[in-house]
Amino acid sequence: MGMRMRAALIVFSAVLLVPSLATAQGAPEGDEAEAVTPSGSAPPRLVIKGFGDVNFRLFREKATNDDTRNSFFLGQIDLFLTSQLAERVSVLAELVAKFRTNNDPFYDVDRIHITYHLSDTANIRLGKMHAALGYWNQTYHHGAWFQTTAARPEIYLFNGILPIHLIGIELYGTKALGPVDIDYTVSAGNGRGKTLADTTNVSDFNNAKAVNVLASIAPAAIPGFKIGGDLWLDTIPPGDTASRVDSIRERLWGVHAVYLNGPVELLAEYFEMNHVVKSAARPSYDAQGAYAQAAYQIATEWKPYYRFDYQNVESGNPYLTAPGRLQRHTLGVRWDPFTWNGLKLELSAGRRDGHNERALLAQTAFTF
Amino acid sequence: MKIPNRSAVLFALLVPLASASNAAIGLDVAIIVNTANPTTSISSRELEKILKQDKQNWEDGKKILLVLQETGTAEKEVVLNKVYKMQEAELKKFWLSKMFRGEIASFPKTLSSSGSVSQFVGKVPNAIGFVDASLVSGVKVVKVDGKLPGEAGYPLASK
Repeated sequence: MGMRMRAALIVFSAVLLVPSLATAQGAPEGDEAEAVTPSGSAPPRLVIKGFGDVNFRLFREKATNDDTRNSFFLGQIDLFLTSQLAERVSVLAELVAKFRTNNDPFYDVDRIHITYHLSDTANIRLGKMHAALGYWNQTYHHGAWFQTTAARPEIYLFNGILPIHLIGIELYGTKALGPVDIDYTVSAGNGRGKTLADTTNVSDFNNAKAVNVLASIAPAAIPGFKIGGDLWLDTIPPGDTASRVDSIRERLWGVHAVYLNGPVELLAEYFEMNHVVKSAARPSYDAQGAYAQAAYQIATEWKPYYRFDYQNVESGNPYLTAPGRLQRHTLGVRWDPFTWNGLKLELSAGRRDGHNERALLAQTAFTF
Repeated sequence: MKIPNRSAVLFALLVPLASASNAAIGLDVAIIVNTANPTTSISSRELEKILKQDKQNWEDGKKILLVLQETGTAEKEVVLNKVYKMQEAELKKFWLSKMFRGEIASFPKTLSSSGSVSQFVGKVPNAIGFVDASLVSGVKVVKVDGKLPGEAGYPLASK
């Protein structure tokens, strides 16, 4: 074992001491007495939760040189606010502090939406929300404490290939139909910006709106199992470079299956994406992405896990400008010394565009 | 003065301990609603959806107001085991996950005892809660899978 690897393990072991202090001091396990439906005269009550994570990453081999090497790094600090305005109206806001690769902080309104809960079958949401794609995007997103693993799947990286936010309107609900429960989401909104990093918070770049549909079924005969699919249609506006003078038609479809029952966690998602440049030649480019993750809870605190990541972006795509093929295996373990903190250690090994990558990632993720 | 024999002393010491450790055994948990609520029977599947707030509206469209009991009560232990199928810490994560997805705005209302829950449900027309079946007063008990507390096969019996 190299010196750097030994140092990383010593640091991670030291971090393990902190939770034992918290436990010895009787750290609070969270509130229980909540949920007061507001009366007509009393102002709505604001509930504030926070999420954060601190990490250490050690690279042994890297395919590219544009990421921070062998470094402690701050994850995102997520301030999560909810309020019940009326019996059937709620508000959610998510304010996130992030850091660029040049270490500069920046701040983002990750979500802000108001939801009118008309019935179990029909809820209307307006604002900035998670795009209804797959399972991970809506379940975990910025909360590293929620997710089992330290790193997100490659397909769900922030500023990755998938459109993970939508500013618009959404209708969603659930319906029991005999032996199955059906969930659905239909949404329309501003869609993509000129580049992957753009989010159309206040102005869309074209009149075309993105349309997003998701449906899933959960059979009562298999508790904890859900399978679903989604579709995203959009027109990406022209960009500001010579290679991006035309609009691009985007079609994205995906499938997902999850099984969460007792100690077992099984997640799998697959996406296909097609871009057609609206020029005379109408060139077409494809991309695919997937992950499959398995975890098993041992003795309430320990959860070993494995994940396989895959992504393939066809070269020449003027919108997805980082082409290449990735396959990665990740093996790790999560330890929750108490309810509101998860410590994770994972090793990943893979190949990106024919080059090997290996890394060790340690993370402490928490909510407060 | 008569000196108690060893058997009697052991019995006097052990019975309270046995009773304390087996407080939940023999406890039936009743699902209660307001007497004005037309609901008389629900399935286990529907009960799970209501207690997990996956179902948030009654059949007549009124909003369900769920009230739970605090951590550590025998009634809560039965419901954690039989309905939620998770421990208290996992349940707290579960509520926080639902808040994160925007499905609920805060943790469900929690009261300290069966008496408090009965009193609350008795006053609030669209509330639902769970109590020790032997302490039901002023509320309606709902059948679960066609059975009432005390009947053979009742799903929320602790034993």
